[in-house]
Amino acid sequence: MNDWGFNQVALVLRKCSLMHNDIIKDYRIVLGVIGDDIHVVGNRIIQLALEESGFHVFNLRTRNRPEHFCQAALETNADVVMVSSLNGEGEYWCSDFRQQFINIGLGDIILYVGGNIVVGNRPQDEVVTLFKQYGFDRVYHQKPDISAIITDLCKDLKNG
Amino acid sequence: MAEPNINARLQDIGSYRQQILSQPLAQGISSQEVHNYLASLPAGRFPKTAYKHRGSAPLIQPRGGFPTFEAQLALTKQLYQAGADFIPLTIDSCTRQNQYDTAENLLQRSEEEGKDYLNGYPLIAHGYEITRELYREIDRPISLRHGTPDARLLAEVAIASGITEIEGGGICYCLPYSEGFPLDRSLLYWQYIDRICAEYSTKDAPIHRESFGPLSATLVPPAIAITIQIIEALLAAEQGVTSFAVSFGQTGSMIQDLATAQVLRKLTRNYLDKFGFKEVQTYLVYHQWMGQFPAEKEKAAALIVGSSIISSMISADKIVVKTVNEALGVPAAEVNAEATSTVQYTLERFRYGDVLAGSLTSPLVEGEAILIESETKTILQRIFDLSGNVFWESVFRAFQLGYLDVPFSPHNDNANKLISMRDVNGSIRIHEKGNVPISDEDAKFEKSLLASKHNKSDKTYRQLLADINIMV
Amino acid sequence: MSKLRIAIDIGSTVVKIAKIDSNDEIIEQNFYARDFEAGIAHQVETLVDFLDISYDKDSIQVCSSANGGLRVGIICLTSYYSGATLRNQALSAGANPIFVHDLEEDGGNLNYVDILLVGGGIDCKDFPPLEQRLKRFNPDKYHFGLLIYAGNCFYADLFSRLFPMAKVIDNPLAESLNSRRSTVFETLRRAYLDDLVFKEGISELRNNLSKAIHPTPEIVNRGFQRVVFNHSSILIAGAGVLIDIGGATTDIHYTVEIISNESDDKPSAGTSVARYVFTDLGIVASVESTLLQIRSHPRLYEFLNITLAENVREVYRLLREGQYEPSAELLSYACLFIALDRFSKGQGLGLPIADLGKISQFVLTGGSAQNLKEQMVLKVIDLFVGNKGSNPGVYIDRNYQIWVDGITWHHSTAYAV
Repeated sequence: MNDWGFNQVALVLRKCSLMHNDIIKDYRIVLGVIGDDIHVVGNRIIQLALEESGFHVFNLRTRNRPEHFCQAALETNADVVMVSSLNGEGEYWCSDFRQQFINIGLGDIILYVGGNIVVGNRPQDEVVTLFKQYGFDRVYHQKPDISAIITDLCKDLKNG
Repeated sequence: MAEPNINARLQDIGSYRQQILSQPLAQGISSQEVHNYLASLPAGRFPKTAYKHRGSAPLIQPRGGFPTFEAQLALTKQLYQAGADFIPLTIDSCTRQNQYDTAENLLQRSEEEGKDYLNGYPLIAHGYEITRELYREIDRPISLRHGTPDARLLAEVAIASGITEIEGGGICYCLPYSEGFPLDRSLLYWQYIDRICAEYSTKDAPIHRESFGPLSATLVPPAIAITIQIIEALLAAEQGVTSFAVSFGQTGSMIQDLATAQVLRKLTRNYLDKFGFKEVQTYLVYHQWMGQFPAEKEKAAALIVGSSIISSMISADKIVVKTVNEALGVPAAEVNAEATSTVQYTLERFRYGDVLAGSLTSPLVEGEAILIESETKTILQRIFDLSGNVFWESVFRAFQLGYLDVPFSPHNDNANKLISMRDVNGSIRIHEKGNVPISDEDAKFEKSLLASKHNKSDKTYRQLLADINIMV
Repeated sequence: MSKLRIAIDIGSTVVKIAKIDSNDEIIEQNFYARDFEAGIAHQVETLVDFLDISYDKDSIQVCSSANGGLRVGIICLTSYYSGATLRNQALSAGANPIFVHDLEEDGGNLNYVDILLVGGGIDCKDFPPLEQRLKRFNPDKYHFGLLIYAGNCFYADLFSRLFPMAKVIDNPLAESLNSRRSTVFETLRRAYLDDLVFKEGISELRNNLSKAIHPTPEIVNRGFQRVVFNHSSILIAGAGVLIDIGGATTDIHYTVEIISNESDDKPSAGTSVARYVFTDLGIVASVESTLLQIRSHPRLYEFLNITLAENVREVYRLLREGQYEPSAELLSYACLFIALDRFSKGQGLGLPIADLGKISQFVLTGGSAQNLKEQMVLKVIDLFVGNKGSNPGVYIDRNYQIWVDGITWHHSTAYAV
């Protein structure tokens, strides 16, 4: 089975030697793939990576809509929501992402998005700006370096 | 206690079948006419004949499916001329998901616009009459490659078209391909398919079934793959199938490939015999690397050549081939034909791999085989020991309980508790067994084999990434 | 000689007693109108004696729908997770969810429910959003018999302090979003029995009879699972739906692969056969609401045109004007028609959208199905499937085999694990 985005994860990751020793206890993360995307390899690896760093992960796996992330975050008392998309459906689904969390009283939650989140080749800056407008705190478009994500996450959680 | 048993054979499927064939797109299929048609086909169209006449090298099967009749016909001819021993018919994903109307519409668009809107051949939309024409000149077996949990109608149309090899199974075509199709139903539907294959079979010309061993093709421990292969062989045998191929995907470790082939071949036979299915003829099929392919063509070609040699060393009855363009998406007909020629060239030039491998003994391979065999037997016994009185249901329960756990399956019924990694030799090891009931001793051994490689300072997930993409 | 098995179904108007052989087939069954003066316990015991049945504790099994099923109100944290879990377990236990509310949109509900179920959140400390919502929760806005808390266990004490009358049970979500802990299922089953005792005086039944009375819908669901698993004399070739049209409710039991990809509502992962209940469709107790629905249905004329042999225009006019008293038969078709219409659109609390074209077999059971005709049922189905479908089969269970299949099958996959 081919997993395109995933291959990039591996390539970039190998170049990266960043290590962490932070062990983060009791932080709760809702993780999932948005839209009609059935790629699970990357999703599962991210879950393992987060768990290894001590996070408590609730994996919604594939085919989710924004409201599923919201409701799952509420049910699990989550600190962070991580959305991924490999087929570019992110743009379609995410435009009022933060707003949906505000609506249920979780406006302060940390929101990350990553993968191939838009269709086609678009400048990195443009994509980052767009998704920050949607309310995401961190945007990793075609930057599948899990170590960097975890480093950022530790920072963001410490700054609370 | 639910062991495989001939009493599980579906009786009197007439009215059940009528129901399935009442679908408008299947109209005109009459089992008597299909029987007669199958009887009129040359013997070479049946896998049994092909396997009987195979020489020292494994038979070769490429992949391939295009939406329109013309494109499929051209592919068929190209692959035939390139020397493919089995001619593939790969089905599009709409048909696989039982969306026949959509497949029909997209076929029409593909025909009108001259552009491919489907990723395979929509067999049900084409129907059996025209599909027979694809193979008018062919005297080799045609193989149905799909990935359909509910393939009852598809199998009916395929057999009516003169396709004599049906790949798939209740587990292997559900867990890697679907996230929500209920596994219990998939198992029941494949019982039906096995049954009709048996009913259309004659002693000399059986409709052949083949299971799909690679599963998610991502770090699946051999014991899990073998257990599932044996289960599907037993389920097919229950329904009266007499010609069955078990298969597995290149593991990424030569040691493990050799050991897996040994155990898979031996245990499949043992268990079939044990439960009274001595008449079932079995074959071993090897899939070239099913994971991420290198993007560089030279490396892809080397991988194809290397795995061809392994197929010879394990004395596979058939090898399913990949192409140098594998990393780029659906390969063109020419590329598939080239791959077939490459494999054929390799197999002809590097003969007697099996003889050599058979005469050499290696403690590495033997130790591996003992471990895999012990794990497989323990898992199977735990499944047989589950309460209940029908085997398929125990298999279903085994997944709910996590006794069977396929890494990286998207399916909701999969436990996802087992974690596997590669050891220093590149062999797949069980790092966390989850609820898979291998013995504590075997589990400890698996871990100890990992320990030598385990770089304590490195993260598991990082190793996993490297392990998955070992060929890139 | 193998032991004779007896199955008893205590309905709201009829008591059914069947003798079953070792192949789970009915040897003989008898129907008796409920004797409301004698009381259910007395009547059942008289009948058992009359039929010369001995009280061997293994050989008699009883199910009942005498109280019309428990009415359950659900208050949850989110509809997709805790709401769906509570609702699905209630449905599997044969109860009738009347409403599902978010704790947040706690506007109240004036419909009486036997049980008000409050839940939400996985088991986890320091959960301000849940705490705030629970503190704001006001049970006075509801009419209920019993208040049950089935949420985050760390907030059970808080809930008990706020609402001392509440009964607390284990959180079915436990520590994950896809737990299979069946606490609500078990509790509602027991509550059902208590309710029967209370309303119908079943407590006087001999101990060995009353101990294990199951709700009839649960039994029917189990029977349908058995059919789907090919363990029954009834054959289903693939995706199927069972429709049980009753006096008070119309139940559907279905194989989950018929759910459309577009559907937002889905049964919990791992479910293979699910149930749904329309509490406003039925031919006796729910006749008024059924009439109201059919009368105002935009496809009424089409419906009448296929179900009536004559006088279509006249009946149409009278029905629209509220001056027509339809036969039980027409009402049964109306229940079927409305149920399928809603199912095809996902119109109902937590009801998924079904792709009816995928269904290869429709099975009808229950007292009201007895006077229906296969041909006519097929025509009603055609209104929703048209010619694009799989040309489905229709089977009317005229022998109550599904019920027997369910009551004699000692196997449940739904909550077996």
